[in-house]
Amino acid sequence: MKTLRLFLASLLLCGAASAASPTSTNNDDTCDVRVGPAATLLLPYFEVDVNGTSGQTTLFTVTNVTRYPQVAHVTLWTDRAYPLMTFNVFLTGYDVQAINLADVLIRGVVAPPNGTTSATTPGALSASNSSGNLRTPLDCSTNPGQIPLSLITAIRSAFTIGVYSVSSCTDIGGTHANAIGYATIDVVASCTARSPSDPLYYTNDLLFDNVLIGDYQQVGPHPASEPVSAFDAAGNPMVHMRAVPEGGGAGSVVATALPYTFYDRYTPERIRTLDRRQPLPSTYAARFIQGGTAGFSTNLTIWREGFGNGSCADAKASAAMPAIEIVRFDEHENPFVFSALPCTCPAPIPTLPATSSTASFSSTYPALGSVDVGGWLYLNLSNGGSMTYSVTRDIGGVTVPSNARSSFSGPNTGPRASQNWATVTMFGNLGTSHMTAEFDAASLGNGCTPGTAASANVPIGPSGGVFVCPPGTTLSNGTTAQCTGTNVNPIP
Amino acid sequence: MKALRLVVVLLLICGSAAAASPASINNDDSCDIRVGPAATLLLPYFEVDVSGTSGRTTLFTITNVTRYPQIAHVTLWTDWAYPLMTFNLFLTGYDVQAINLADVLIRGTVAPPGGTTSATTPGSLSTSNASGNLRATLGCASNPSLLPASLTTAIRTSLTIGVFNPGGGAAACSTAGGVHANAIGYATIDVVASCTNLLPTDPAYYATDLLFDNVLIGDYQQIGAAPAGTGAPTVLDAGGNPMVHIRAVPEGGDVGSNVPTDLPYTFYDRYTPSSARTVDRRQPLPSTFAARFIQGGPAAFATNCTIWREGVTGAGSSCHSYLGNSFMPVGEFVRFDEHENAYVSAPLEAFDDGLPEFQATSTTNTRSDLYPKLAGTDVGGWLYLNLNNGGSPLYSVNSRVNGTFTGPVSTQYGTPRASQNWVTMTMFGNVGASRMTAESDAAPLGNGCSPATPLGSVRPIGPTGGVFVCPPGTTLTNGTTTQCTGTNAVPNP
Repeated sequence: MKTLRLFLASLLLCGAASAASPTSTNNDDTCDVRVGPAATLLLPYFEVDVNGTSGQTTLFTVTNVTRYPQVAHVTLWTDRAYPLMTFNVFLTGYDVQAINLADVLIRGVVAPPNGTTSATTPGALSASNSSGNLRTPLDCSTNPGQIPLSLITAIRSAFTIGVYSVSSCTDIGGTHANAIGYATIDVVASCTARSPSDPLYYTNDLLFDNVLIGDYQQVGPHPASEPVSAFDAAGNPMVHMRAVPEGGGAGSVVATALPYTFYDRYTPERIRTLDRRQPLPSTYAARFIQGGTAGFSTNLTIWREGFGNGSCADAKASAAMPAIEIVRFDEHENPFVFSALPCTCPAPIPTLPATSSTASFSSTYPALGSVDVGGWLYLNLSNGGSMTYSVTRDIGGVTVPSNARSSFSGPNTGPRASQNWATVTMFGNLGTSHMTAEFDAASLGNGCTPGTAASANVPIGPSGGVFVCPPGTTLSNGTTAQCTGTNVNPIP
Repeated sequence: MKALRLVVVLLLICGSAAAASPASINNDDSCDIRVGPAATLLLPYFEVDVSGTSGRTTLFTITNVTRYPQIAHVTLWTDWAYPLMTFNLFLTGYDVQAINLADVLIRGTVAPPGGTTSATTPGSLSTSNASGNLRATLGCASNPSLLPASLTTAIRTSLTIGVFNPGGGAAACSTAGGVHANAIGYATIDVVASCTNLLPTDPAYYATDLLFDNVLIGDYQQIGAAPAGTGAPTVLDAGGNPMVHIRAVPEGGDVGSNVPTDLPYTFYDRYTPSSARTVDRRQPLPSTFAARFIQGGPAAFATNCTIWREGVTGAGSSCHSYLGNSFMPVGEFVRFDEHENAYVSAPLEAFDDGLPEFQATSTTNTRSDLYPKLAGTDVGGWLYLNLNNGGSPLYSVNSRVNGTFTGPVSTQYGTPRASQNWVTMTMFGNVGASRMTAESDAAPLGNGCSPATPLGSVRPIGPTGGVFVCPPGTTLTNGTTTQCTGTNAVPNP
């Protein structure tokens, strides 16, 4: 009996210690996605005029903030999340490399004139090109400077009309005059040709060092559905996803507390969190301006986790994925939602592909029913889940994958929301002056936050709700009745 | 003996569980600064042409993402971190409120035409204006929409020539800020319980006003942004960026709640009461950054580096002491070009230690003498910025001695408490009539809880904690661990 009491006291002590001190002050030790050295960069949207007539293009830049060499593995995906092509960028220590996607998609050249190579002389503060966490041999001699014309033609076709002759796929991307898609950039151990949709990529190639930063510029952005009037440009950091915990060689199997990961749907079935990449959130608050004498308008650029694991059929399924809810608030806090149709049908559910840039005045969003020229949009972008998503459950202390699908129905949408990212690009004109300002929308939780139910069941607000009251505290009125929020994210 | 063995085993399990699963997956539970609901917003820099001729100004917008009403307490500071004025914004549930600082500084109005008020009718999804975490007596009746002309004049002079003399018996100060044609400073926006006139420099602010709810988001637009040092803008192009979202960790509670936090120190550290140095619970800001630049070339590339810095003045500091916020040293600047050539600062005769000095907020051109010269023909690269100012006796370090927080402790380079900073980069370019004005945050290389980073001559430049970090039982790809010298563990100071 005494032993049992001691046993219980020890358990309580153990629990109390973790409850009293939950915050991690460590670097790279959270589900929060911030700008800082990362293991994967996401360029959530690119758009290139492949005719080359307007000059519209997307540039991105990758910087290695360590003295050791790194290999950045770039994958270009269609707007329906079909992985089309990969190329590697060899970065010496402290290297910075810009990629103009017009070079790739129009001129068929990566990092002109000759691509990147491990033969580059490192800087005075950089370590040798054979040091660091790279494999021997590097296999970087085949890093392309020039891409075969036939391949580039096929890629352009896939990015503009969704037809890819190399894999005999159709409908893998939308139809639009410009090439539209997104890119991922991973730190890897050698110059690999594998795509992240290949499970072998995770056991052979992917590294876990948080060492890359990146940003992008959209040259010639313009309000969606309006013509380009000038080649003004906007820019923003890429999405910086860290490996948590960081480090180890290629194929290292290390436990992580992340409930699922950015590459979840592509990871090997037996080790679903192998990539250790932070997952992305699902709910956002995005400001908009539109109308008025200054010609205000706002593009919402939204990246979404697709369905499936990269097949042609999966791309088709990712063409119009539903979103749980979009609510528009004007400057007077009036909420606007999609109206029910004249029949007795339910209100329409918004759908978006894996990446898109749409005007806030478009029918994708609830109409602004007032004379205000601004406000904000609540975006619950969870797509309802997929059987290819894992929901990594903790059963008896053992982490096991579970293909439990999250669902729109009921007050609880299930533990696994789909991943998303949203940026806002604001436009305005005053005479010859222009505003083109792009920045990230505010995420209302982090990627480890459980799925958020529709606002009919849970009021719109920060994930976990308000108000959060630490033990022993009250609100200003001395009560705790409204202390219903929590920041604790349960393990799915 | 058997019982003791069991306890030891259990404690070992408890400890190993924590070691094996270090990541916090909770919301609002880290030292990382991300764009998301926060308890304090920092507008790191504003610039307004107070003559009104060029139209140059800064706008910022605050959004309350909850259904409950909130009060946002705005404080305007000079570029030498002198707190000039405060005003309150009453936000109904889901409210969004834009502030044009030209309205405040030129026309003397806040949120024209009528200011903000708790008499505003809430939206249909918003709760009553009398609900939430506000005090019963709001004190918001005096929320100004029109400021006294004498006060506006005094504020303008302090933001342009550094002389603050509001009259009416208020203390005057002739060393409040720098001298420049435009009004330059920064702003903080805190969530508070009622419409207060207290400044964040007043220790009573933390006991009676400040709340801890992570409920506000914000962004700003710089109208007429132009490469620094090139004169007045010829066009009013604009860039924009989120404000710095500083969360309370842990979140929540009443005003004056003195809840323990694992944050080693906080954003408002130097102003907090001596008996409760982390009472604001605001996340601290980092000290080292990687910042991309472009400059030169046929497209006339240029980059402004906008730097906010923690000052060295505290509660009750004398007017004269604000001079100390006008020339704070930096740890180290290194410029890397596109070919990884490294350039360090040449000794500058103007500065005692040969390194540049910056005030509490500034925007400067990366081609200026403040940064190491770019010697090659490249038109881009990145800057390593170690902005630690060397510390101040007013900073707490909250050293944990036998489990008890102690402090304050003076700091120097390399000791645990780095000064706090924030950096954004604004890139410019021109091709014919087309222009780029793109502002974005620089990448912090650690978080605000990271210990001070030694100079590059002592430890190579890179992510805070160094590389490579190898989890237990792993090696690098080459099968060795000799280069596994990095760590992401941030020790308590």
